[in-house]
Amino acid sequence: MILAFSSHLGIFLMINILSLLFIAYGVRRIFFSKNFEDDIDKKVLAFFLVGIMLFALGIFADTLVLLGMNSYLGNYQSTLILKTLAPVFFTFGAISLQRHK
Amino acid sequence: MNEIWLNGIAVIIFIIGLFFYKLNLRKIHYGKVVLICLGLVLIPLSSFINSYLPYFIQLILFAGFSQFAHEYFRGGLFRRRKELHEIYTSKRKEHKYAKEFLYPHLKELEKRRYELIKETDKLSSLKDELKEQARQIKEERKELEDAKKEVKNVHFEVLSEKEDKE
Repeated sequence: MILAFSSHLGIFLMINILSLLFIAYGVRRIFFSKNFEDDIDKKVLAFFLVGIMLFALGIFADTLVLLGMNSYLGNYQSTLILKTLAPVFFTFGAISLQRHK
Repeated sequence: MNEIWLNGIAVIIFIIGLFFYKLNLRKIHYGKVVLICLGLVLIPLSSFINSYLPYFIQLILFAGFSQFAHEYFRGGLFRRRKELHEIYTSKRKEHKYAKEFLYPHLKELEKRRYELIKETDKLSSLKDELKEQARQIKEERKELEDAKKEVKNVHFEVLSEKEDKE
């Protein structure tokens, strides 16, 4: 992975850090606006926020992999699993949106 | 091999999520946020095409996510301004964060409100002036009509006197 991106490592690290910053900004806004919604919307948004946080964790693990700091969290498989687990929570959110119409 | 399985599962989950999202009949204000979250599945999926592509898609999608979250927040601010103002004016400790967060926006809104009040005052004063002018013009017109009538009367009198003499 590192060998493949060695020439553009800086760009990918920057993209990951920028993505994490975007997530932090968006999550902060949603987390605040969530308090003024109904109970159903609160539940739906909570699912989506959990999914986003899992994705952020996946990006963090990817950053660790890019930096060569392989560990239990920071390895290629864990990034894949985290990035696949996130849509599961998004789907739970979408289902709960449908259920309480 | 694991990659293919995981991405396949993610796509199936995404399709199920999209299906349930489309079935939704409730009016929600965070539809764009939900859609962009469901679209995040494109990131691991795009690694099949090119190993550089996921990073760029990731950046674009998260930029969109933050933008839509910001729009949702601003929309909520205007929708529930009354509630927010109540929180802002309350003295509870748990509302401290809300106060800090909302202060600039509420300040802007209050400023705009005072500007609008001033403008309405100006307009109402203009309206009064115009009403006064209209009243004056009506009076002048009435006077002119009266004068015209008097002239006509005098004219007819003179004519009748002439006829009598003849």
